[in-house]
Amino acid sequence: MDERADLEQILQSALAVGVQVHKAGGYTARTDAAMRRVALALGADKADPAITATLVGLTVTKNDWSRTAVKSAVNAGINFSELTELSELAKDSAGKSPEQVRGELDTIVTNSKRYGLGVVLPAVGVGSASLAALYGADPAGMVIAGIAGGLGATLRAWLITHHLKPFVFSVFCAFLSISVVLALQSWTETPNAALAACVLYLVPGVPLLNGTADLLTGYYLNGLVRLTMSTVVFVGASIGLLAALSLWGAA
Amino acid sequence: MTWTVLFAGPAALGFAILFNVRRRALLPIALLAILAKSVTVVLADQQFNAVVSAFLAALLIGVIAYILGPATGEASPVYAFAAVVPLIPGFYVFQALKALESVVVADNGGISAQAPLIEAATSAITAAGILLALAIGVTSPVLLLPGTRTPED
Repeated sequence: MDERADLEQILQSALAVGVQVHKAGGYTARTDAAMRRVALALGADKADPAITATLVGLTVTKNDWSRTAVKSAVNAGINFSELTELSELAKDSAGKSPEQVRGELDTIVTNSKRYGLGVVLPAVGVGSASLAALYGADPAGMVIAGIAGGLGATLRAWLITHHLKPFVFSVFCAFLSISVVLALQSWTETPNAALAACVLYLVPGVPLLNGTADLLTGYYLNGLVRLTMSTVVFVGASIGLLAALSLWGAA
Repeated sequence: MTWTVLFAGPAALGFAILFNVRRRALLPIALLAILAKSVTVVLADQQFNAVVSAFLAALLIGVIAYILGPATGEASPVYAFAAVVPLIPGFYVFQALKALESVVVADNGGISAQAPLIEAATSAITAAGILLALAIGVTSPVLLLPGTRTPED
């Protein structure tokens, strides 16, 4: 009976780590490796992860006993700080008890800090302005792209708090950003560069790269799901962009 | 090469903050982004195709991130993903969509739609090629992992 209880502890600890890696934006091979490493370090003879886009499952085996559990793991927003700490936890899990691993995991999740919107939104604005410069914008075009990107990102943050789907908020945010640039286009001689740069904060870069990583590492279904998610966001942004261009007139 | 490649730094920083990267990793990301953009500009000057340039720049960033990540206690994607954001072909995507709009509103039985249709297709295919090159380039080092390391390193 103790052996089964131990196995359950190993299972729950390794699974909790995997769920958190998945939610923080790890690609599937990373989630798989983290769970496998923790389970084996805690004493399992064998660990068999099963990961989909929204579920993380694990079967652990020890002395011919097996236990399986599956948990929901919906992406909670990219968090590379947490991803790094989780990697460290997985690597350092050898010699620890399942309770210790769970305790350290809880500490990571509880203490996980995100940059406040007061930092993120200006950063997106600066990022949009810099991208406009890379596309050849003049200083006024950079300022316009920065304002449009910052305002769009602000709207996105507000819509996310109201639980709107990515497709929907992409449409509205792209529409707002493009509209802002078109409204201010008389300030600049390079409106096209500002128009191209002001919506790039909507590009689902991490899902796109994770999706490709999944395809290249043999997780074809998860790769296709992530790339489809990216495509949906991209289509939403395109609709918002085209709607604004059609309504207000192209630069 | 022009000094405007320096704007790749703040562009990548904006996204790094959005991805909640730790403060200590921000400067290396900015430098890697400038390096990546510089590589594409130099290769473009040498008449390299935009897709090939993007792939080589992304592969370089992926390799550096793969080495730098474990050395500095950060997960490799922290350095790799944000640093290639300035290489995203936003201008091609915009050109494709703008040309697509011209196709949709074209009259004359579609004859006036031919030129924008070609432009939309050309820009969209180029953009897709660059995106694919970036994604494959930056994730390729994972495929080449030595047996002693795992993807989470």
